[in-house]
Amino acid sequence: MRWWPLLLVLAACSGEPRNAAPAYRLEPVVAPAQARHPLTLPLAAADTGAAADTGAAADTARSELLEQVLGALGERDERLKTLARKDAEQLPPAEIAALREVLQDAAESDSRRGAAAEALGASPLPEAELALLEFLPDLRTPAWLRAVVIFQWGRRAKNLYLGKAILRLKYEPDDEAVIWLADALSRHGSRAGLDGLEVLMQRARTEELRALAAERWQAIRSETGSPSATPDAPPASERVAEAWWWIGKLADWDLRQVDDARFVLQRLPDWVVPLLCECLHDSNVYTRVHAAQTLARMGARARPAGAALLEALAERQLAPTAAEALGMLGDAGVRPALERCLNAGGDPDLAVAAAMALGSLGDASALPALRAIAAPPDLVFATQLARVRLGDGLAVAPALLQALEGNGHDPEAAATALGEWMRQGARKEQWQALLHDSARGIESAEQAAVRRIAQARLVREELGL
Amino acid sequence: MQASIRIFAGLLVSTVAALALYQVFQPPEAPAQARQFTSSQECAQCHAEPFREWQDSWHSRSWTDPDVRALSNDFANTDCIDCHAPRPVFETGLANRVLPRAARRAEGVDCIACHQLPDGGMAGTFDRPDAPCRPQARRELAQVEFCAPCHDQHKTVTQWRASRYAAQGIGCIDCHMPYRNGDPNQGRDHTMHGGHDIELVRKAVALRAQRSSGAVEVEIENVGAGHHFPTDERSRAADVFWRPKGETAWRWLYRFRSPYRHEVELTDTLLPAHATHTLRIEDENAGGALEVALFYKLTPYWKTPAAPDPEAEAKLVHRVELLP
Repeated sequence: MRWWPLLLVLAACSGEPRNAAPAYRLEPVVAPAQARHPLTLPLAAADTGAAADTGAAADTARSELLEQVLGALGERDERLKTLARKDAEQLPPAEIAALREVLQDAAESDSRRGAAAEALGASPLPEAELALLEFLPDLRTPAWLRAVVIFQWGRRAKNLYLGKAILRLKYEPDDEAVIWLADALSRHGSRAGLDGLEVLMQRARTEELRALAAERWQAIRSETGSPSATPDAPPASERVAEAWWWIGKLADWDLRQVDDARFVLQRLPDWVVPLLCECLHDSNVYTRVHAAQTLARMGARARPAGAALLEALAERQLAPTAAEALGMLGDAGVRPALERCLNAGGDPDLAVAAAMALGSLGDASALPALRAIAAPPDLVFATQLARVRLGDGLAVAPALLQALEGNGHDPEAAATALGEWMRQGARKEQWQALLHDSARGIESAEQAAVRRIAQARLVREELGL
Repeated sequence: MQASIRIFAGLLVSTVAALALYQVFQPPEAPAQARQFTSSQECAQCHAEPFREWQDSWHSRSWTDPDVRALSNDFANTDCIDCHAPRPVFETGLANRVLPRAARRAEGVDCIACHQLPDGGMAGTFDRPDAPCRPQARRELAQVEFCAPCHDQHKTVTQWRASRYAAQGIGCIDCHMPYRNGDPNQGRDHTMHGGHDIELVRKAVALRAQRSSGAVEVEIENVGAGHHFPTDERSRAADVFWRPKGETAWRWLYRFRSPYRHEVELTDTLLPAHATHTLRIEDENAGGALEVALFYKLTPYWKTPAAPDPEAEAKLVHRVELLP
């Protein structure tokens, strides 16, 4: 009987700790969302650039009206073309299939293929939009025809599949087609093509195309304003459905498909951020991790995801990617949380990711926490890389020099960090001259070793060693 | 006297019985203290030989190899990171993709990536709960599905599944991770011989040439690779060249390679397992003595595409000479 108080104490101490953090919520997110937001038309599972059916005989029945439309759109008479476009608006889905065949059939004349693209552009049917978009991945088709198809897609009054068009920015090799792609996307509220135009303003193959890129860039900027100045309109339900379709690909086996999905999603308007935040709780780990990577790529645009990413630091598999993403968002308010992760203890991945994220964040207030890390060596190296970005380059350059010369840490990461520091010093031009020119082909192991020796010599000079 | 003998005998029997009972019911050997391994360097203390082999392997260089860095645009193509610096295969499970690692990327595909178990122990050949790394016998290490998370990203395992080797039960490790000195008691070689081992490449493919109907007929047969030749689509290439005997410059004839998505003018020409590809040299200079050679390239591009120099930029796999 004397033992009963002790038994009571033991019973009180057993069970769940009262202050234990709630478990991170994991549940199916994507599949239910896709069920709630069905696509108007099914999209092809893969966008591999596989050959379109270029040589297929057109066996779909073509009506007299369709032939008249194609004929008229191939004429120079604008009055006739206007009438033909009005007729094209009335074409039923079966005729859209016939137009698709004409567009894809390499045996058809250029004039008829161009006319088919224009007729598809005039049709309000989603089947017509898909026919135009499905033509684009086959890069063996004439570039001028792809440019026409893109232009016609942009002219359509309503388009459902913005992401399919955005993906072409990743693969389209023709400068002119990219310019019209940026223009077409802007007509449908997307500024995704602006980056490509900025590149083409410098590097397009002709002066004329460089001028056209500059003119379109200026026009899009003036029409849509800066990304931060113009709030995005609420998305149409079809756009949301397509976004969930792309999100579903984040769990694809093929990493190229995953990267395509990340490419598209990061370029969708800001309304995609809450959707990606939901995905941080999906029961599929690949969806969670790749959603966080997408938010990271969005950078400051994804700042509303900060709270969700901070919460995600509690999920072991997601935490390192969430930390990296927090760094990329650029919100200095997350610094204390990242600093706590430096001492994560059990997970070296999270600690290293947090160190790198503090460097990306660019807030020099993190320097004391980074300087305080003394072990393990890999984490120390990560803090050194981060410290360069926060203005502490002189202090860590000797250690990075050792890594560059081969002490087991990543020599190329050291070279990149030292490059950031050297570019602020007196020898920046000499450093620049040492960098491998990719135009000379792939750098061999021997060339890389020689380059790093020369880089190390230059760093020693800079340090006065 | 008899009483003392009986007492002594009784004590002896009791002692033996107590010892026997202790042996039967003694508590199990205490497991080693769980230890968090954070670097492959820590494995070297006990596993010096496999560690040394791994250091020589291209697994250990998967992050630092200049070819990889160039082809991945210095890992700006972030989808390459997952397999070139992976978290443990067992974390996500066999035949599932690995997740990317943030720490120790310079160690590439390290010991931990293949051996670390989610509970903190290590996958190995034997159960040893008393060892610091608490190894557990896990047969999955020998399964093709164990390699698939990374090596099927470039379709190698899919190619193997379509080959006769799959039906015969000949898997990845039979060729790429043989027993040391052919002795199962010595364990498997962690050097992971592959495309960088030209002797292994030579066993994979045969090159034949003969004159036929006024031309030279060249045959390349995939005789030993359990997957396409070359595998690792896109990044690798094998080229057939020929030249009249006495000339120094090689003449390009054919390339085995799977192109990148943007290389729309090219088609996939990888040579499947067991398949033979036949080429013909119909050239007025091919009537005399000539050489035909197969070269292997770890990166797909030539420095001067119009005049490739295979002897400088590729590895010679086979060369045959043909008399006039």
